[in-house]
Amino acid sequence: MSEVPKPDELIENIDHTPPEEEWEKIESPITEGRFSYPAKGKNLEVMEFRAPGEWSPKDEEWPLPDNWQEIIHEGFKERLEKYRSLKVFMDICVRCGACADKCHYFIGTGDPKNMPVVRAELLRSIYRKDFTTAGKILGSIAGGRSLTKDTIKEWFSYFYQCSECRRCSVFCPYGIDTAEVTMMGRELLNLLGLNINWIMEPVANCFRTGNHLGIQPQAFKEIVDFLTDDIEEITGIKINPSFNRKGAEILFITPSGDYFADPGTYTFMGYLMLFEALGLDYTLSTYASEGGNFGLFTSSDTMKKLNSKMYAEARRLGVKWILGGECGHMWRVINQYMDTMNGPADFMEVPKSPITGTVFNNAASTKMVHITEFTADLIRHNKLKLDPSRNDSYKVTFHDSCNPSRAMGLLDEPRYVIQNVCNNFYEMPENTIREQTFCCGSGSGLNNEEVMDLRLRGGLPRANAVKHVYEKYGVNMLACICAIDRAAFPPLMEYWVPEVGTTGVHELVANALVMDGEIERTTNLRFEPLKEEEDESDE
Amino acid sequence: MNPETLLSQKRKKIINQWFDAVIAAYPDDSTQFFKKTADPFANPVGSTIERSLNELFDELIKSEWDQEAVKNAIDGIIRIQSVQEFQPSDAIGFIFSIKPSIRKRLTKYENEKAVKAYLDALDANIEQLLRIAFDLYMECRQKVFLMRANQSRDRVRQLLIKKGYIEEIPEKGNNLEDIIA
Ligand code: SF4
Ligand code: SF4
Repeated sequence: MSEVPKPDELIENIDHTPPEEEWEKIESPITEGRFSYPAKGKNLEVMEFRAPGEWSPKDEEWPLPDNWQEIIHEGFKERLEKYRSLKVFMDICVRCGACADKCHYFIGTGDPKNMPVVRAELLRSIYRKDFTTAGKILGSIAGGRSLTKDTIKEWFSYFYQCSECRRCSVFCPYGIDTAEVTMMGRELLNLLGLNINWIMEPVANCFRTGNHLGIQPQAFKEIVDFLTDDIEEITGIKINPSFNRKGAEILFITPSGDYFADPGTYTFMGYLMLFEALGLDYTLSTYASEGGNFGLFTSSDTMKKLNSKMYAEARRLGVKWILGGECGHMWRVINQYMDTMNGPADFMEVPKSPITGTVFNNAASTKMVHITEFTADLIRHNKLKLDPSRNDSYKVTFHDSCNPSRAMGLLDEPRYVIQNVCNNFYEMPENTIREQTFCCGSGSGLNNEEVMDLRLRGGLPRANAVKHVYEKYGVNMLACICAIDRAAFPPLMEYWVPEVGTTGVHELVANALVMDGEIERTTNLRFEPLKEEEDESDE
Repeated sequence: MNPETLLSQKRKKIINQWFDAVIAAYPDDSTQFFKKTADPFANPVGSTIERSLNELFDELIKSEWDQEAVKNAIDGIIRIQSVQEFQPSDAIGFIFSIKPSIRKRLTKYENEKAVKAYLDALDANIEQLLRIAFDLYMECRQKVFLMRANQSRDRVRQLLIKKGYIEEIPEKGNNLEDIIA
């Protein structure tokens, strides 16, 4: 664990308090660029949610069912009974303001309703009015508010301006996790059929076809074949990964972003090259062809359904354990929720690296190991031949993706790997990395094009720290271990620091990896020449 | 009386007032945060605005500008405000808000010929800044829209190309001979 400020230090340093003006009175217009487009009916129906028909958040009248107040009240009540954490989070906030200026959306917008304490207050004020005795009697004097149609609009606006990154929770002396409050707010909105398509479509596709984009099994195989052609061209080695192979030791699951879009594809090539070099007994699944779980951004039931698909496939194939790729929220689901939802996965074995013999006891119940843990262990045991100079054209910094860092404490493994495969590594400022990392601004289903403005202002604190290391050290590559990051950073960088590219850690690993029988490499995985001089002399 | 020297002496005060005027465009509850949080990584908006105004002030009062420095200084603020839901006129409005505090310092000497000429030149300079700011604002907005458009286009296109359903002209060079060869 890295140095997280202690509660006393935090309290001493609080320099900001929640709004002085009553926040309810602050207007929050619903304008283009700050809201995501509503979910399409077909995607809601597949997941058995209410489908309210065509509508736009800009409409004056939203398509709520007649008994919408009753639905929300009952839904809220049910969740308060089911989740003790929710009840505690509703009760114990002392409105000290320590979290107020820690959210990247507040920092980037200055909108008081983007202060985590106020975001939670959107729900808490209804809770106070409807569920506490004082609130029932005293109403707004006790901080309670009535549930109106405008409340619903406000929820939709601000619970979809929270990337559920949990940065605020690091600073709360009581450990209140506003991301969990947002999750509950979104669950309640779901009861009314109010969701966004960027979340519901991936959910529906993943549920039905196996991955976010609805890529069919044969197409998945073709894409992987295509990537292996590229690998052959670069290394001279032809890799033939197996698909849906029963009896393989390991099932490898990664987000679909790693195989359908650059720069994720280079990371995917990196995994395949690493496994080939090790002679790993693994298989890919065309059914569990998605690590990401947008159910996390929808409802716990949906999250459970999508998570169970991976385990059902592991059971069907009879593998011993699951190795997982560089995904963000997949790991939050695995570490924080999988065990209570679908675990323990007793039909598998406690993961053990077939190369080093290391037993991953941290995954004793979920049976799922993160690839940077796996690779760090290989490097530590000297099992990889590496030539870091092949990454010399890169000056690398590392972005701690919110979920692996804050939700599973994976802070040192990726750094250890990067420092062994690259010669030039520079950290961003302390209060922007590790547990205090700033979100990419596009997490939790907000990486759609319609909220590009919101993403750019929410991603400003992250980009600002990248800009600093670019100016100070000439950093030109931002490494991360999350597929949403790999999709979100290219535009974020293009806008704020266009000189900096985006990479996954295993792309860097594969560049440096010396494979038995490989030809002399002249390019990296992006087909960029390894040595600039050679390139010039060629011309 | 040299207006430039006088303004330099009041530099800090003028910039502070300018800063206050610029952040007055934000909700009351965030102005304290933008103003008081000194760490540039905890507060990129406030610190960028502050840095930009400092740089801009130094150029503005000179008779000869460093064009690059001016552009960079304006870019800092404009790049932020053009994604913060400001009306275009408000996003470039920060340039106007220096006028009152400069004038305030020089009204006493307004009848001096040199000062009057200086103020006229300053007005012209501010107009020039507005032009630059407007161009930068448009550049930023255009970039945002391009990125929006590219994202929706590339999402599936990359896949189609990968699977060989689309064969694009390879990027060899810009002239036809290269492509055909
Ligand atoms: S959530 Fe925690 S940090 Fe934020 S105001 Fe409440 S008690 Fe303070
Ligand atoms: S979870 Fe992240 S996005 Fe949501 S309120 Fe907290 S800091 Fe902001």
